[in-house]
Amino acid sequence: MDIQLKRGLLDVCVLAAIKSRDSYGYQIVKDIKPFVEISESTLYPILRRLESAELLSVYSVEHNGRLRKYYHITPLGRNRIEAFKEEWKELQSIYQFVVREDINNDEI
Amino acid sequence: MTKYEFLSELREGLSGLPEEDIQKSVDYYSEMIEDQIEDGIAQEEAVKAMGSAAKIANQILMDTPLPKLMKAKAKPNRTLKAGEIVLLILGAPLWLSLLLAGVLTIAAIYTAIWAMIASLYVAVLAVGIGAFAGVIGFGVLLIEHQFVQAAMYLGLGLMLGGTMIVLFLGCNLIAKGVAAGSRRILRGLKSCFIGKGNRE
Repeated sequence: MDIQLKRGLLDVCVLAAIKSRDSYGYQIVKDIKPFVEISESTLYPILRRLESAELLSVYSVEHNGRLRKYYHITPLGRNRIEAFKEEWKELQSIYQFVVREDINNDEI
Repeated sequence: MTKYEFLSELREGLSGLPEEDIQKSVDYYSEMIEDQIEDGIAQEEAVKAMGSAAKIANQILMDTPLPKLMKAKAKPNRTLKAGEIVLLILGAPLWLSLLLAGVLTIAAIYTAIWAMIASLYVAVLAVGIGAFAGVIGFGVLLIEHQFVQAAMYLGLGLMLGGTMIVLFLGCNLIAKGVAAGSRRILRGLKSCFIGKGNRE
């Protein structure tokens, strides 16, 4: 998949993974992995980017005598998900166009 | 490799960055490894899943803004001796002016390139004005019933208009190419700093 496209998709996937409840790094990777290829090391820059863009906020919770960082989606983050849904509709109509072109060529 | 070894390698790769930033990255990877171990994965395997610490450090440095990166990499790894500080201050007129000249040269090249592109756009605009003038001339001559000259003006106007469109598209391509090129140079500059730091 195109790197730029995948980058944008992963941003939205991470936001989606924390949209119904706050989550932590390892859990986010586990939740996304069945759908998109992601590793712990690819998640890190994404989290940093989303945090500095204020699409999510971070807080620490004590867990088994150590700190674990939890990520919480902000209203801006929810907006990003909504924007993605709109973009997806556009993409779908482009896809329809691409597929239709294919069928026409077959008929000729 | 143990978790401790991995984290200290990561810390070494990031040396020079503000301690706060280093700690943040180390905390993240420490948490990741701990969570995997808690999930029943052996420490060795958990560390291996992270990939190479040096590569991770390079990626983090690549994502660091250039000014911060330069500051991080220019910082010596040890405290300076008194003699070195004296030399630095005494040598300031020399190295400061050299540094300034270097920065200004790069800025000048950059300005010159963009000025060239701007002048191309001005040329396109001039052709456009020519086309417009041709059409106006056509209108005026038509009113004065000089049909042959009017036809010539219309033809010239249309020709210039067409030329303008082609030139405009060409200019856009050049501008886009230069923008992409300077982005690549910036990345190259960054990797220069990172490469130098990690060879030491």
